[in-house]
Amino acid sequence: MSARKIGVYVCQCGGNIGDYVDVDEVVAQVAKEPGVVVAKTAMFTCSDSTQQEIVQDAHEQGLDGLVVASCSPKLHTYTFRDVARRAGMNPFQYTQVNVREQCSWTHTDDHEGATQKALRLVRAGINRTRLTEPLEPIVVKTTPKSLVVGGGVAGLRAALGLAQVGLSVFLLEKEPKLGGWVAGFAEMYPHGRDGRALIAELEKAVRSHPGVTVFTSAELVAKSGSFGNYQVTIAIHGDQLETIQVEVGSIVVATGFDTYQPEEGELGYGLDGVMTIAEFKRMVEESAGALEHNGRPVKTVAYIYCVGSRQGEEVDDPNTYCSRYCCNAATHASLQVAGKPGKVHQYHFYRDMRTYGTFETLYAESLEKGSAYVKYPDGEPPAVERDAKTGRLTLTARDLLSEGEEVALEADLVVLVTGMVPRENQGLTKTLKLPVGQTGFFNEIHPKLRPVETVVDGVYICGACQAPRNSAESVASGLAAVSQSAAILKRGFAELDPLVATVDPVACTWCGECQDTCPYDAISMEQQDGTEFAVIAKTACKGCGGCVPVCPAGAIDLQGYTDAQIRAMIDGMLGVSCS
Amino acid sequence: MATMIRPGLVDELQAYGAEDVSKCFNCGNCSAVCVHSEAPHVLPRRPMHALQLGLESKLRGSLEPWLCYYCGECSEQCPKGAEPGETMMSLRRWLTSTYDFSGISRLFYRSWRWELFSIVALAILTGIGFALFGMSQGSINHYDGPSAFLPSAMIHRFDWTMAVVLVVLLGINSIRMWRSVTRAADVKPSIGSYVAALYTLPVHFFTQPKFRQCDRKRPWLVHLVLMLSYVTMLVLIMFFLREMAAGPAIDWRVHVFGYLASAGLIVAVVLNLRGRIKRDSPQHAHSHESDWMFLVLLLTVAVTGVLQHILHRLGLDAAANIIYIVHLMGVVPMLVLEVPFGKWAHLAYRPLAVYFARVQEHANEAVARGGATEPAS
Repeated sequence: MSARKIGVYVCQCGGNIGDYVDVDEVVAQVAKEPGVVVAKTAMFTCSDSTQQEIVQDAHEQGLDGLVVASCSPKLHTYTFRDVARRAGMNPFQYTQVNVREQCSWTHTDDHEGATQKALRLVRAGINRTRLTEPLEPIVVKTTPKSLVVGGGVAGLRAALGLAQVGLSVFLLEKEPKLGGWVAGFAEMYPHGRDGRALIAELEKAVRSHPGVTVFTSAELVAKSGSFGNYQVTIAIHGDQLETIQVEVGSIVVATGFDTYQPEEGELGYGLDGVMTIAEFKRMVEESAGALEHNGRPVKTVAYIYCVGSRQGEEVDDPNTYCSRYCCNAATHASLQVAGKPGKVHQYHFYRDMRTYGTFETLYAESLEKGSAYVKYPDGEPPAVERDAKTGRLTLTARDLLSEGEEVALEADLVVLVTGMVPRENQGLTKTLKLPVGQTGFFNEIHPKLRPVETVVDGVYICGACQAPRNSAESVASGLAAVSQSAAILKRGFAELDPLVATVDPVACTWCGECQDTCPYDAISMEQQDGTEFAVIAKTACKGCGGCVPVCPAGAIDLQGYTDAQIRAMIDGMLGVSCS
Repeated sequence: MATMIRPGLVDELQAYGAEDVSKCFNCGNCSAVCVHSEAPHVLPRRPMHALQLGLESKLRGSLEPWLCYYCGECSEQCPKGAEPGETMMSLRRWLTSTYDFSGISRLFYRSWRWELFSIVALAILTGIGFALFGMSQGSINHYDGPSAFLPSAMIHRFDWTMAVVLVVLLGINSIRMWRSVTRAADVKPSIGSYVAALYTLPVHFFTQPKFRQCDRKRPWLVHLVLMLSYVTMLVLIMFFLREMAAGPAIDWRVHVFGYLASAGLIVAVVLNLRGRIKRDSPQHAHSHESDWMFLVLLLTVAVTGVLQHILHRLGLDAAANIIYIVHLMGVVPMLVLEVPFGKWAHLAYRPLAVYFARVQEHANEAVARGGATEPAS
């Protein structure tokens, strides 16, 4: 018999589970399991009333273990950990069993089988719970310093923000000058502010703040330590290479984007008069009077949108995403052109106008100023060539707004509205173990709820290194990274889940297998009394469990998922009565 | 073969009254509310977009502007204030100028000064001509009879000469219209199609059934009154001028029609003028200079016509003769300049457009049946 007092709650999830799994049967069966003192079903276990009921049962029966058989642990782990805590239990003595995604939803055609499977899953959960021990969160003291990688508009603003909340900041910029892309812009939309002036203002504030140390021509080359206390090595490329080491509590990555570089011949790129939007904007801003090219006035400009963005199967390794800024940039450029002396006819060959939010006014204004819009079909961008007879650039495209009619335009300039691509940053990606998404940009944990955090604790991403963004959005995410950094660094400590690996130093023979397999550099070798054994930094360990099975001595166990618990779960699933 | 874009066409149309075309973002609301927008004729959206881009060759052969009667519903529903109704109107002016071989139409629509100057100059020439002619062979004190200042037989000959000239001019431009339309069409209609569709011409000339389909009925009614009054007056003048000019007794066989037609003309013109001054409806919200000149000429002609008739009946022959000259000073520029080159040319182009549309439809049906038509080269 077990001395444990476990409560089991099997959820019907409305009909999501109850329609396929005979929950009453499951409850009746598991009620007989040793240690189970409460076994119930509930229509919605996550509802307030059922949560109350669990708390009440726990107090009345003196429960010291909780099993909730409902949905995926991704949904309600934190909900029921909190219920366990309120019920006087240790939150880590609760087990989530997934009988919805892994059972009812997958076996809608076999009610009997689904019920049997649910029963086995719940038994496994009970067996795991029976072997749980109370665990406490790992408390980490944090260093009140931050490292910002990248001195563009997002990085600059983040550095200033971190300094303003009272943290020491190291700002790293690879280039000799701060400012990134924005430092090269003149008039920016939607307010007409000068990008260079904006950066100058920001740089002045950053440089004059005593809390910020700026390193230009500098790169992050190494990182060690663990969450809250990272030791980073910075290489500064000057007359001679210099490296310094600093300790920081958080790292904000703001390394930005690269512009899509069209290939020679792509949409006429390489022909005289065919240029990218960046090159065109520079040309517009540098020309004092009427727009000229090769000394001749420019009368007709054609823009081709979505170059390098939203690519389809026609290219290898396509950029499937929308670069988001380009519709705005192109319509804004057309307004700049319209503001110049001399009539310029402007034609926009687009797929879908995505001047989202308030930028819609740019599109509306460009229309009113006479820009014409030709909608070309997906995968059929305009053909650009230089007409042999007239010597002029000629675009041919099908216009979906003219029922697919093929139209041709002779233009003086063709502007390729190029998108953003992820920057080549392999060194940094490797050093920080940054997660890279399918699109090649860095990935956050959760796009809505944890938008600047990465799976590496204390390492945040912001700006256009994460996704195509404009400068305002980049700055906003930079400040989000500031608040997340402040949340862990200003308190002086942070709490981590205790579900980490532990080593039995006596059993360990130090073969190094575990160190090789650890993706988080959490394992190191230690010597004591002439013996070598592995030590796991619990602040660096993510509890992935990768080291457990590779250990030939079986010296590693994962808190919360010990070998004994896993074996007990297998026994529960096989229906073997455990001893 | 790709349609060549001509940048700047939309700017050119500004002279014809198109102002807000570029605001259009192609939502298609205008075509959704238009009762005449039905495949293959998508209006006003298609010509609107073609104009925005500058697809000139498409527009030159387009019938769509003529299938619009400017009820103004589209302009009211347009979320961008792009005035599709007025755009159709300006496209009709532009098309009129592209059909015209002489370039006069283009000159007038683009410059109201030229149009006004031409009207005034022709009026003065007409006045001098008829005055000299009258003095050379008659007496200013005689309106009718053997020594009449402007004998009806002579005016009759003059009218018919003018009519032949006008028909020839308008005929040439109509043939040019037909060439533009057939060049742009996908299917070359057979003679059979042309014959089969002929019935549309008189129907649409006299009653404008498509105009009547518009949600607003009043503009159609006013237009019908104006048109029937004018046709009645035209028949009287061309065939019964002698009876009209005889007097002083009133010949009710002709004069009852004359009075009705005069009343109809004056009422309709005044209603239209008042509408344009007050901008009381979408189709009156924008007035091109050519619209004013046309209405003012028509009003002048109608009022002076009535006046010379009254003066003649009152026995004030000298006064009647002077007003008759003023009347002719209005009639000649109105007919000679407005019918082949101006707003009035629509009397031919509108029924023809409906006719050509029916011809194309017939030809397309024939193609669909696998009939004997040859595709356009």
